[in-house]
Amino acid sequence: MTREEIFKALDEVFEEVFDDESIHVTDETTADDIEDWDSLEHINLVVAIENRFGIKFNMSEVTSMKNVGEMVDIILERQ
Amino acid sequence: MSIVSFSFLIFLLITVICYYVCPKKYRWGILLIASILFFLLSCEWKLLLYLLFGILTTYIGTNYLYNRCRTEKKKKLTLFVTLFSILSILCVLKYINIFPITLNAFGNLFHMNFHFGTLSLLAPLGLSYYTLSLTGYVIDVYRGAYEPQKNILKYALFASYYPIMISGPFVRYNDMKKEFFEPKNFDWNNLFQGFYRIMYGLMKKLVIADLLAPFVRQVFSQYNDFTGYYIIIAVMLYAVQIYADFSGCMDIVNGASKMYGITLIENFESPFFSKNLSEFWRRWHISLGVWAKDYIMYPLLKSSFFQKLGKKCKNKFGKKIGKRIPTLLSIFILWFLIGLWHGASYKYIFAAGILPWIYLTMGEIFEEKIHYITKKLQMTTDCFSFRLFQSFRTFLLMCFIWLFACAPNLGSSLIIIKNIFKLPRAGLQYELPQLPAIILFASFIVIVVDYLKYKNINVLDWFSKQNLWFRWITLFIIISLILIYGAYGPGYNASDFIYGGF
Repeated sequence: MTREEIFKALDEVFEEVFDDESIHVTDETTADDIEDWDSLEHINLVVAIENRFGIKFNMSEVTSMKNVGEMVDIILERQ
Repeated sequence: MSIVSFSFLIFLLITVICYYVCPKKYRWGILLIASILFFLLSCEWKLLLYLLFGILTTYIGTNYLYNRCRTEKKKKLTLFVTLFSILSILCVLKYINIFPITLNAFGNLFHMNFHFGTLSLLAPLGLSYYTLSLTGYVIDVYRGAYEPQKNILKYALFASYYPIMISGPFVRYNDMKKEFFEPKNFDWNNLFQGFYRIMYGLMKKLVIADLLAPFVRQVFSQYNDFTGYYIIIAVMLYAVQIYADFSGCMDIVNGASKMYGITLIENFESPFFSKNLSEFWRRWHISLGVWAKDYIMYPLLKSSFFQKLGKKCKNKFGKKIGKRIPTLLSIFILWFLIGLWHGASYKYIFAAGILPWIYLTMGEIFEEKIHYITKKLQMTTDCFSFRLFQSFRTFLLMCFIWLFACAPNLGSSLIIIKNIFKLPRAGLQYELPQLPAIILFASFIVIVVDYLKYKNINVLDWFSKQNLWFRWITLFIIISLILIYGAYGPGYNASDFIYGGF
């Protein structure tokens, strides 16, 4: 998948997890930009992304990812 | 040695001079020597053996795990053995008495007197704090977050850095590595900001917390004699006392570190301005919350058991409710362990564990309904009065938690709650300690500083930009407040911070 395709797929995952069809994520998107993205929802999001892309984040990545851009970097690396 | 003492200020001054006189490359060595000295001056030298054991086992364990373990099975086994060795000491020294206490309590319920004796084991300084920091380090190395430290003396500094041994904050090795080992230039601003913060912390501790303490102590130790508003006032004052005490301690710890040019994470971010309890706990004892989230809650939620549970619940109760069930279960485990960390007592398990969980669960369940009601009542939520209401509501809910925390035990806290609804007894003479008006002035300073912090204004940076005369005058006022009104002097022991006991 290209970076653009990953972002498109991520939009769908975010929309599903946060029940909001207006979400559009970019490299700079962080938890501050999405109202319901708190520490509890973060783990649901991580698991949903793992299932969608068939990858696994390790725990240090789960706790240290600062924005969606870093998430995409890991997905690209693991494909 | 207490950090609320003149000898500590002398100790700090000498070590700061040695630190900056020493070549940059070896400055961490001064911090290690200072940490060992501080430990020896603060508790029995034999207790240093516990710390040494913790350092050695985690050092050997992590280096073995990183360099020698090739299979996941071997890595897991090494992780387990290393964690077991350090956590077992914490459990034995801190929780051994919970078993005889529980058995005796059960015996009393069935009118049987077991009389199991309790042990009084001496725990080393900062046991709860350094054990959790080392646990985090071991788990991080296992997760591959970073390489373990090869130099055992450098590692010993991370494990025993003296300012954080008193009451935290919990630190992560990769954050501290650059603070300890990257060369830093001497900066007058660090010295000024550090000293200023120490004085501010001393003011909170000596002029607010320790002046409130006798009043609160008397009400809660003679809880059968006090009723109604006495209890309500005492618990509200305890809320102020515990905040001034713990955050004051953190100001001294962060200030002392700043004087070495070391920046520690903040443990408090104006918690009393929080809109709700979730926000409160994101602003109160931050490093414990972050630690628990990273090392307890996330691994639980990502485990296959919780994932399967989540799927089952979603199928049975629908997506919205289904995904909340494993989350609430993991939060229960997290808060239970946080409660247990506070002490081997049922009052802590209930007050610092189960009660916060009940609050958060209620918040989750009723959040939408509260939104609906405020909308129906056409209440303006984006205004000062509503924000004030939210903060006061959060404060009251926390006061209810603290009522359990400052009662002698769980049983007496129930009597205290009953007494709130009773009228004061006629003819009873209360001789409560006086509350000096200066507490109000000092508290006003803390509220202003916290409000500025809440608005993302760094007060210390702001002070650094002011003229020298202004900085000296404000420092003079704070020192005068401490010297004139502070609770100190012969017969007074300010060494005990409330959170130092946890």
